[in-house]
This record gives sequence, structure tokens and C-alpha cells, in this order.
Amino acid sequence: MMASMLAPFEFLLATLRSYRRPLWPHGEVINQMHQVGLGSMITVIFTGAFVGAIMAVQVSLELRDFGAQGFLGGLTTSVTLRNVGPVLIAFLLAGKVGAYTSAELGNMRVTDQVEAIRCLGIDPIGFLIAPRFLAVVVSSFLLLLMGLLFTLLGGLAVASWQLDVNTLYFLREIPRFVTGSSFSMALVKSLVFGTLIAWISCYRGFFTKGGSAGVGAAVRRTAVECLVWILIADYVTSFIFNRLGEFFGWGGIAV
Amino acid sequence: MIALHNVSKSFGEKRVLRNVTLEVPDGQICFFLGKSGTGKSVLLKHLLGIMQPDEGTVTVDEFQLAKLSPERHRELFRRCGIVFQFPALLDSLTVAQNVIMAMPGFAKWSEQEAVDRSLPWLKQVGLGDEVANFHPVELSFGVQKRVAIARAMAVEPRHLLFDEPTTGLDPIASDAIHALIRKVTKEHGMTAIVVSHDLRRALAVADRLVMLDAGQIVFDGKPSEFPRCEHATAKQFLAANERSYR
Repeated sequence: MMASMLAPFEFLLATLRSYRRPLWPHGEVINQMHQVGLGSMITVIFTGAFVGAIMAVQVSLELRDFGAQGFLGGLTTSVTLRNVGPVLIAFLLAGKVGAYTSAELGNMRVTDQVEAIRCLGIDPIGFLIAPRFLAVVVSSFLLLLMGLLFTLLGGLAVASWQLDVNTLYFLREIPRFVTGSSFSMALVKSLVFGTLIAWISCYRGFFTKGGSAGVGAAVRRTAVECLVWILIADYVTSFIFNRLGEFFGWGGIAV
Repeated sequence: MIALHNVSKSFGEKRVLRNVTLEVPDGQICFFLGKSGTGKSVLLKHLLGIMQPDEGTVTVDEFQLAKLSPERHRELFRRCGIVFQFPALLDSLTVAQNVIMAMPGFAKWSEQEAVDRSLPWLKQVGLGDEVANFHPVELSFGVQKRVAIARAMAVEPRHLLFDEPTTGLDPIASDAIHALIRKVTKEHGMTAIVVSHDLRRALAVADRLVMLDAGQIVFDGKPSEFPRCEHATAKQFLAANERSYR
């Protein structure tokens, strides 16, 4: 029981250790980033834009009752940047990038590719996992940042065209609510979520067993565990940031 | 020298290997024959230290397989190349990269360097630079098998292990693979351990046949002696072999 609970941490440690002496083929990290990152760009752009648009509409409904629509830009951007944006985009990436990585590694496991690597005297974690882990963390981080930029644009577009909020006014209010800590939180959450997606998908894929049914099970577990751990990590990072904000007196509204 | 001494292995109630004792000298082509589930592949896994016997000892050259550190185990893997039943090539790499992936310095080589370094090994198995930049999925099963043999040879092992090397191949490709096994092992002075069901090709290629039945060795000798074996399984194999000729 204890051993199985520690296994993911041992796996992570072995992956991090393997970076001391890279074994993977020339250009493999770029190749993997191309595979997982480029294919997800359009989806992330759409998701980001619509998350921003939805948030603008919802926040506008609340603000209208108080005649405070002037705060729309600031509130929408703050809430989206600090919380809703990273979580929803990370959910999407868990389904796309996480599932892809888990399925690819799982298929390698059940078709003896992992065993073949081991039997050539190569450490399969250094050879297969290390480049994928790095590629998924970096791709997810960059995609999340790109998605967040599009949440801002989506909110701005809806505010201007549908909610009749002046664009300049929308933008002018953003700095009142969105401070350096909001950006830091978005960056940290993006990095944490990206790492979680990489960790869970690589771990589940690498330890797949039981043929094609096992690959299906690994992908399902990856998707579910990513969603659960992203929510837990979201709560924990929000909590820590708010506490740090109180302690250091950072500005902005903690959401 | 590969040596097994009184090796036994059970999975739960099922005893897969029973007191198997065997010595394979360097340079010999030894075929393990037997019905499915008689312990041939299990025996092969013992030779690589992937499985440990319940009783007995396995020795490959100076390696005592019972107590190997991870580092020594990697050395053993480089001493014994294995070709799996399915080629098990990495889909994400090119053929050239697959062949040289175990070479020191591989991580630093460009794709062109990978092609250059893989060519001598691809030529050994009758392939050339025309396949070097392909990915495994773009090749036929038979060519993938050849690439898998080239990959196993590229670590310059002393012993080559084959787990049912002609599964899924047509008769012509099977003949070609068996001829290749004989050619490359004899040219490089390697020992070859081949797990197979294919008696006809074993008789043509092997220096020695070992037949397993219910985890025990029931025949161990030269191919020319096999037709005189009185064991029921051996007779069944011979009869099936004769039927396949008609």
C-alpha cells in the first residue's frame, strides 16, 4: 500500500534524475512539443476566447444590478486570469495533451517497445519519459499562457460588441484589479497544472498493463486524475497566494 | 558460454520449468522447440535476467544472473541482444535512429549522423539507406523484423536471442530471416538462441535442437539426430513437418 503510494514520487524522482545525462534522441523534445503543442493551439485559442466571453457575460449580469459595469474589464480579467481561465484550459489540455501522452506511452508498453529499450541496456525513463515530460510541461505552460491571453481578448470582444462597454474603458479598468500578483498566480498555476498533466500522463502511460484494454484504462485514469488534481492544486495555490498576499500586502482582489 | 543448472520456475500452481540443465557454448546456433506454453519464452527471459528462477542458477559468461546490480544488468543486456516476437521498434524514431539508439553518444547525433552510423548494420541484414529515414509503421512486417535484428546486432553482443522470429511472416520472409540468423551469427561468431515452433527451418539452420515439453528437456542433440527421437511431442512435430511438405 505504502509502496504503491510512493511509486509516483519515485517515478518523478527518477525522471528528474535522468536529466543529468540526457539519453533521448537529438531534437526529441522539440519533436514532442510539436506533437503535443502545435496540435492543441487552435483548440486552446477557441477555449480561451469563449471562457473570456462567458466570464464577461456572467460578470456583466451581476454588475448591471449595481450599475457598476465600468468595472467589467477589471473584474472579468482578474477572475479569469487568477482562476477560471487556467483551470478550464488545463482541463482541456488534460484531455488533449495528457490523453495523447498516456496513450502513446501505454501503447509502447503493451507492444514491448519499453521492454526492448530496457533490453538494449538503456534506461527507458531517461530515453522515453524525460523528453516527453519536459515537452508536456513546457507546451502546457505556453499553451495555458496563450489561452489566458485569448480569454482577455474574448472578454474584450464580447464587452465591446455585445455588452456595449467602451473598449478603452474596459482596458483602463484592468490594472485596478489585475496586479502583479494576479499575473504571478496565473504563471504559477500554469506551471503547476502543466507539471501535473505531464506527471500523471507519463506515469499512467508508462505503467500500463493488459493490452489495448489497458491502454484505454490508462487514458481514462489520466483524464480523471488530471481533473481532480488540477482542482486540488488550484485550491492550494489560491490559498497560498492569498496568504502570501495578506502577509506581504500585495494588491489586487484575491479570488 | 550460456549455462543453466537445475532451473525450475512456477507461476502459482503451474510449474513451467523443471530442473532444466543446459550449456550452450559460444558460437552455437541453438533452437528451443516445443508446443505453446512449454516454457520456451520463460527460459529466454531467464537468460536475460528479466525473470529469476525459483531454484537453480543461470550464468551468461561471467554474469551470475541471480545477483546483478542495475549497472551489471545493463552490461548483461549489452552482452545479449534480443529480437522480440514482434519487432518492438520505436514508432517515434526513424529506422536509422532505432538501429543505433543503444550506441554511446546517440543523444548528440543528428538524423544524418544516425543514418551514416546505422548503414553498416542495415547492410548486414540486407537493407540500405532507402529505408533509413522511414518510420517503422511505413515498413512491412518482414522489413521491421530485419531492422529489429540490425538493432540487436548494433550493440555488438556476444549472444543473440530470438523469440519466435518468424511469427506473422510469410514462408519466403521466414526463410530469409532464418538464413539471416545463420549468416550474421556465423559471420560475427555469436551464439544464437532461437525460440521457435518451426521444425523445418530449425532443422535447416540450427547446430543444435533442444525440445521442451511440460517444462522439461525431452531432446537435446544435433538436428540430424532429431528424427530418431522417440518422445511423443517430437514425433508430433515430425509428423506435422512431413504433412507441411505434402
